[in-house]
Amino acid sequence: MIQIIEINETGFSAPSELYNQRAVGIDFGTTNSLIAISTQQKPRIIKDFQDEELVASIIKFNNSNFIIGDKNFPLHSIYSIKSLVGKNRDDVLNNPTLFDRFKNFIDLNSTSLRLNLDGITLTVPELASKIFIYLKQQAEKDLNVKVEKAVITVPAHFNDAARGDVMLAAKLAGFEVLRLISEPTAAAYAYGLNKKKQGVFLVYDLGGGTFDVSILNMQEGILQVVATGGNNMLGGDDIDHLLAQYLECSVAQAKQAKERLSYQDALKEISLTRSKLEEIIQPLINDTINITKDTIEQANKSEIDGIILVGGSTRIPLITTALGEAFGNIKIFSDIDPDKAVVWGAALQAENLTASNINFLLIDAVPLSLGLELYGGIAEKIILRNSPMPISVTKEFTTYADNQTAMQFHIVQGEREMVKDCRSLARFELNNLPLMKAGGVRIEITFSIDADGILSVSALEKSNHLSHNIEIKPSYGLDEQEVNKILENAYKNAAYDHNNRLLQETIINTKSLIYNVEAAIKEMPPQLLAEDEKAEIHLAIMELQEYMNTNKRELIEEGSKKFEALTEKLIAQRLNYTIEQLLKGKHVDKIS
Amino acid sequence: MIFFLYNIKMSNYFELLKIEKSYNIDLKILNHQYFAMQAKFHPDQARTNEEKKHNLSISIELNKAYSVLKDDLQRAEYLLSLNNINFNDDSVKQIASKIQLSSIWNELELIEDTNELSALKQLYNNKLLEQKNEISLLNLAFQNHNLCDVVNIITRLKYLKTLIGNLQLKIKFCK
Repeated sequence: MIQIIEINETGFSAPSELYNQRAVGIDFGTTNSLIAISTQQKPRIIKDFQDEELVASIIKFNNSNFIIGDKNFPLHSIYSIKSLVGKNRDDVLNNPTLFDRFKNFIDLNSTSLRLNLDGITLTVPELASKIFIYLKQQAEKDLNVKVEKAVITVPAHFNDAARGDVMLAAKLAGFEVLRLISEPTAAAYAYGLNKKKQGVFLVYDLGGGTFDVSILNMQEGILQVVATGGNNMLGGDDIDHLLAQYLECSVAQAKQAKERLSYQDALKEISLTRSKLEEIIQPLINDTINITKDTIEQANKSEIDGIILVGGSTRIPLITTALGEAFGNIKIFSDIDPDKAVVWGAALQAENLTASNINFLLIDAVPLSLGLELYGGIAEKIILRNSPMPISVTKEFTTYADNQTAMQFHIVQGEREMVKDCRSLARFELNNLPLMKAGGVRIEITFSIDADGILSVSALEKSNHLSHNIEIKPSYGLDEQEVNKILENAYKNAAYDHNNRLLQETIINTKSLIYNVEAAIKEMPPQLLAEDEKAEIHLAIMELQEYMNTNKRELIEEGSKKFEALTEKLIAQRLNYTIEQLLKGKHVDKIS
Repeated sequence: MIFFLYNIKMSNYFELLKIEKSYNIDLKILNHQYFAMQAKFHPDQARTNEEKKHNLSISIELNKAYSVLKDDLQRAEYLLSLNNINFNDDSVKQIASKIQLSSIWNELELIEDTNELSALKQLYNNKLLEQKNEISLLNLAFQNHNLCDVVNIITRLKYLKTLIGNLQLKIKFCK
C-alpha cells in the first residue's frame, strides 16, 4: 500500500499492540472471494452460511438487503466489482470493454464513479465493502469472536488508487488492515511454508480479472520478492467475453463452456471443441507468456526452480502447454488448489504478523516505480520498482531560475517516461527559498517506504540547512469529505447489517424447529396424536410462517417460543413412546 | 559514511553484511548473510514499537548494501568510493578517450540502423560476452590494486550497459 502520510512524522503507522490478536486473511477476487484463518501455520478456509468455501463475488440488492454470492439473477447483480477498483468515471467511460460490462449500472448523472443497483447509488468501495462484510460475518459466526484484523491480498501491480479503494472497502466493513500483500506473493508464501519448497520460483497467477507474475526467492524461514510484472486488465473474464462473442451466447454460458472444456475435448451440443477455444484465446495466452519472459529478464535470475500456478483460469490446459513450450524443462506445480493458495498465504501472513512464536519473514518489493515530475513533464524515477522494502532514497534538486523563491514537487507512480502517462499521487510546494542564482539553492528530497509499504516524502533545503515539513494527505481518488460521508453511512449501515444478520439467524432457527416438529409427527404412531392436536400444531406452523414473512425478529421469536411450548408435550410424548418401545419385552433388571 | 545504530557497526556495506571487503565476493555468501541479517533486523521481526522503529533504519541500510554489492558494476563503483574516487557522468566522459567515444557512438548508430532480429540478437550476445570479459578484467585489476585500470574498465562497462539496454529495447520492438 503506497499511501502518503504527513511528512513531519517518522513514517510509522503505530500499531496499538503487536501481538496476541487473531487475524484473518482475505482474498478479494474478481470471481470469488475467500476468508481464512491460520492456527500454528495451518490455514483453514472459513465456509459461508451456504457451506461454500468460495463465495462468488456477486452483489445483489433486494428488499433493502445486500445479498452476496447469489448466481441466480445475473441481470440484476453486479459481477466482477474488483475490475472497477481504483478507476474513476472517465477511466470506465473511455474503456469500451469495462463500459460494456457495467453500462447497465453506471450512474451517468454523477461526476464521480457510482453504480445504480436496484434503486440505490453507491461508490465502488461501498459496493466492495458488502463482500467484506459478508466474509467478516461468516468468520465471526465460525470463530465466535469479533474479527477485526486482516491481511488482504491485491494484484501485485495494483496502483495507489486501487490499493486505496481496497483499504477503504475493508475499513467500511470494520476491518483494520494489517497489510496488503500481493496475490502471487501470498500464494508463494503458502507453498514456502506449507510445502516447504526452497529455491527461485515463478508464480503465474491468472485470475478472473487480472494477470500477475512474480519471481520469488524462497529460503528457510524467508521469502524474498525478486520481481513482479503483469496486466491489470487481463483475466478469465476476457476469455468468457471472447467466447461469448464467438458463440453469440451469454457470458455465463460461455464461462460454463470454457470450464467444461478444461476437462473434456468437445461439447457436442454447441459443437465447440477445445482446440477451437484454444485458437480463440491463443493471443491472450501469448500476452501472458511475453509478460512472464519480461519479468524473468527483470529478475536477472538465470535459474528458475519451478513455476507455481495460481488462479482459477490456470485450469485451462493450454496454459500448461504454452508454459512448457516457452520454458522447456522447468517443473510446473499446482499441488495447492489454484483457487485457494492466495487466501492460505494471506491467513499465514496474518498469523505471522500477530503471533509472536512464528517467524517466517517476507521481504516484499516495491510494485511500481515512484518519482517526481521534472521540467518538461518528464517523470524522474526516485524509487525503482522491484526495490526491496523498506527503502529510502535521497536525490538532490536545484532551482532553474535566478532568485526563484518557490519550487513545486509533483509525486507520480508508474513505469512510463512522461508524467501524463503515470498516476499522480500528490503535489507540494516549497516556499521562502533563499534568493540565489539559478542552481544555487539545493534541495534534498527523500522518498521512504516502510515495511508496511507506506510512502513518506521529505524535503531539506541545503544552503540554510532548514528542513521543510510538508503535509500530504492520502490520495484515495475520493476527496476527504466524500470519505467521511461514506464512513458515516457505513456506521449507520453497520447497525442495520447487524440487525439483519440476527433476523436471518432467527429465521433459520425457526425453520429448523418447524422441520424437527414435522419430522417427529411423521414418525409417531397415529394413536399418540389426536387429530385436533395435529390441527392445532399445523395452524401454529402456518402462523409462524406468516411471522417470518414480516421480517420482524421480535414477532418471530415470540411466535417461536409459543410454538415450542405447544409442542413440548408432543416432544415429551414422543420421547416416552421411544423409551416404551425400547423397554418392551425386557426385564427391569436388564435396563440399568 | 559512518553510522552508529545501537550495537550495529557499519562503517561500510561489507562490514554491515559481515563479508570480506573485496571485489571478488561469493554471491552465495552475500545472499546468506543478507537473509540472516534481515531475519534479525527486519521491522516485521520486532516485538515492540520501539524495536520496530530501531529495526527500520537498519533494514533500509541492509537493503541498500545488498542492492549495491550484488551488482558487479555498482560493487566496483562502491569500492572506488571507499577510496575516495567518485564517478559521475562528467568525469566518465573526461576519462573516456576520444577514440573510445567515437567507437561507442558508432555502436549506438549501428544498433539504431539494424532492424533484422537475428543480427540484433547476435550483437546482443556479443555485447553480453564482452561484458563478461570486462568483469573478469575488473576482477584482475582489483586484485592487482591497479585503480587506473579499474576506472577505465568501469567506464567501458557503463557504456556497455547502455548498449545492452538499447539492444534489449530494440529486440522487443522488432518482435
